[in-house]
Amino acid sequence: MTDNNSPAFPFAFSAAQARRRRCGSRIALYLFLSGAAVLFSIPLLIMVLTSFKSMPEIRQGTIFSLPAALDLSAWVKAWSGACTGLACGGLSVGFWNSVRILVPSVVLSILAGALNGYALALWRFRGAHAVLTALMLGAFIPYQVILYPLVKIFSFLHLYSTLPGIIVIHVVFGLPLMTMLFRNFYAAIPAELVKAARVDGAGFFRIFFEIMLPMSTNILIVALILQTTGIWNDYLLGLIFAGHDNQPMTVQLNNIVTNGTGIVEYNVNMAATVLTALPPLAVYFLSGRYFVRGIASGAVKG
Amino acid sequence: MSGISVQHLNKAYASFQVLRDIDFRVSAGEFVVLLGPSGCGKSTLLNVIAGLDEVDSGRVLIGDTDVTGFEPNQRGLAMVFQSYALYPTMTVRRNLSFGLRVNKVAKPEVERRVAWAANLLQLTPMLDRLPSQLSGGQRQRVAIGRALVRQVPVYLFDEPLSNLDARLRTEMRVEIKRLHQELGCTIVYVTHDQVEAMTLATRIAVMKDGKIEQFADPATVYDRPASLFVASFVGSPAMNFIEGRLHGEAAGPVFRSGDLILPLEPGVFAAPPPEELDVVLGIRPEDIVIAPGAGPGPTFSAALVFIEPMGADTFAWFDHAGGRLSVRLSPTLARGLAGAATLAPDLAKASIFDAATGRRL
Ligand SMILES: Nc1ncnc2c1ncn2[C@@H]1O[C@H](COP(=O)(O)OP(=O)(O)OP(=O)(O)O)[C@@H](O)[C@H]1O
Ligand SMILES: [Mg+2]
Repeated sequence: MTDNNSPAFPFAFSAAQARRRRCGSRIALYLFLSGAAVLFSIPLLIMVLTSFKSMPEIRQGTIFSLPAALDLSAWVKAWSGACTGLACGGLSVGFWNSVRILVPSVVLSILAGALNGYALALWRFRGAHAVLTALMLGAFIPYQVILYPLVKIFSFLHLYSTLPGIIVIHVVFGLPLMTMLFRNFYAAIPAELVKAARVDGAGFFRIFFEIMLPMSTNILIVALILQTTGIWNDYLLGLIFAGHDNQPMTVQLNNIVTNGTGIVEYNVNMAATVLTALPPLAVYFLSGRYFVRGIASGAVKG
Repeated sequence: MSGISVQHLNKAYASFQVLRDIDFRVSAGEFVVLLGPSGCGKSTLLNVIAGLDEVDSGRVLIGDTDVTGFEPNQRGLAMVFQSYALYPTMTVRRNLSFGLRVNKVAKPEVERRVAWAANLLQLTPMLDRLPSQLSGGQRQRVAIGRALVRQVPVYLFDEPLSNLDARLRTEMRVEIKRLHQELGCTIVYVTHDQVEAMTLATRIAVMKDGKIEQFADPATVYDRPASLFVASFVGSPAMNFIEGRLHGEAAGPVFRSGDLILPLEPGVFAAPPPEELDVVLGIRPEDIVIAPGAGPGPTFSAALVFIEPMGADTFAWFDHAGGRLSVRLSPTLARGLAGAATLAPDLAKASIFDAATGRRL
């Protein structure tokens, strides 16, 4: 058994060869992936580094060097002292505005999308196809096109520049994507499940809440991530519909960064930007595993 | 107790007619089996009775009430589905009790009935498991239990035993028969297994292409099939068919096929037969015997092709005028068989079909 290369062990030989080849492609893959990761993380790194520096240090122009001392004052200022126009309350105001917009918008849009998708996939009703087509169209129309009529409608309904107004806007704009996401998920569920529940005496909502929703954990998490990042990162809708008192964090960030008076405080701007990007990042890190699982389960079968 | 009356049902998917003028009555306490090949509309008919599918025309009555426009839960029935359709996130216990909880049955009563069904179907040890943790046969039993706990006058079963192995299927068949006798409920039961149909049914409805070909008790369906289709679908191996011509003669009607001449008994005809007609003569494998010599009745000789031992019986296949004939024999008799044999058909049990329409004469 000393001569492993003898023709008496052709399988051992070829297996080793295959392993070596697989190993080679692995290395190439890792090289590519780590290269991409570095490329994408450089801007983030510069932002974080800069946010810890003091202004004199920044003016030296050594953007890649580490900060001389860990200076947190830029973060503090970004959070609670930076000026947006006349008010100087920092980003914290915008953060809480964003939370007030985000939570009801996400919950309502997911609930509405799930109900819609469930109705479209599992209850054959007259015109179901037309509704679906209309929703698809809705998903593809660039929303800049309908902004002006929407503003008119909302001011007529006294919803313009109010918190409920911006929430309704987010729910409506989230509906096409959420509906299609859930419709595709529920379309893979056997129709006999609903039939069995109907024979058992359960109605439309009972079947939804007691049978369908508990089966939907994975797709709910996908929807949660999509809606949280989408609504948190929204700028245009918040700027137009939220009104001055409810401006979300993104709008405030823009106001801080483009504040024309005095010198540009790069460290404060960088800290403010990182702060604004943090919540969606946190959602990804906390539930990324489920995200992948949910996407995959749509492709294979619930 | 309530019977079911189905009146002139029609249903089409786009241009495809699934149900054609289905019309039959199930008496209270009856066990009716819908038998037919795959795709003939059995599940659709059951769904229509349950109120899960709409019809284009026709009515469904349960008891004396016209339930055609009613929701499934207003019809007082329970149904077992072809694919189990268990609620995947509920335990067996909650699956069984779901229908009762929805219908606001009192808690102690729910528990009593769940315990009863679990005991009956040997599900007690797995009451707290999820459906994904059960075998196929156990899931099927949960599906049956979910219907039984409802304790309704009418049960609909859609191939409830199709996914069980042969032994469990036999056991469950006996169990369902016993349940029917015990509960005295009305059952409509879909299957394409004819053993199930023959053993369970008080009456069988044989379906083909959305039509009911024959609706009668199992013995009549087997002995006096109403059409060529029923004759070939019921029984395994199928009835033997010989094509030929009917002649009215002085002594009575005679069947001729080539040089085979068989005088027919008037008893095999429902109505007086026509003088001349192209017909098909059908005879079951057990209604042909191997004659040692010339017997009292007509005989003919045929060449042996092969022998199929099935355990208790053996089937011998003969070649006759280019067609195959099967004969049911005892295994001992089959062992002595070789070359050719003289066959004696029992013509009192023959069926004569009009070759053009396929209907029984
Ligand atoms: N939604 C539908 N759209 C179009 N055709 C359908 C639809 N549902 C069923 N059919 C057709 O109706 C016919 C009857 O279907 P059904 O399910 O009643 O058959 P079945 O007798 O129960 O068959 P099996 O024994 O295979 O269960 C089939 O030919 C099927 O293709
Ligand atoms: Mg079927």
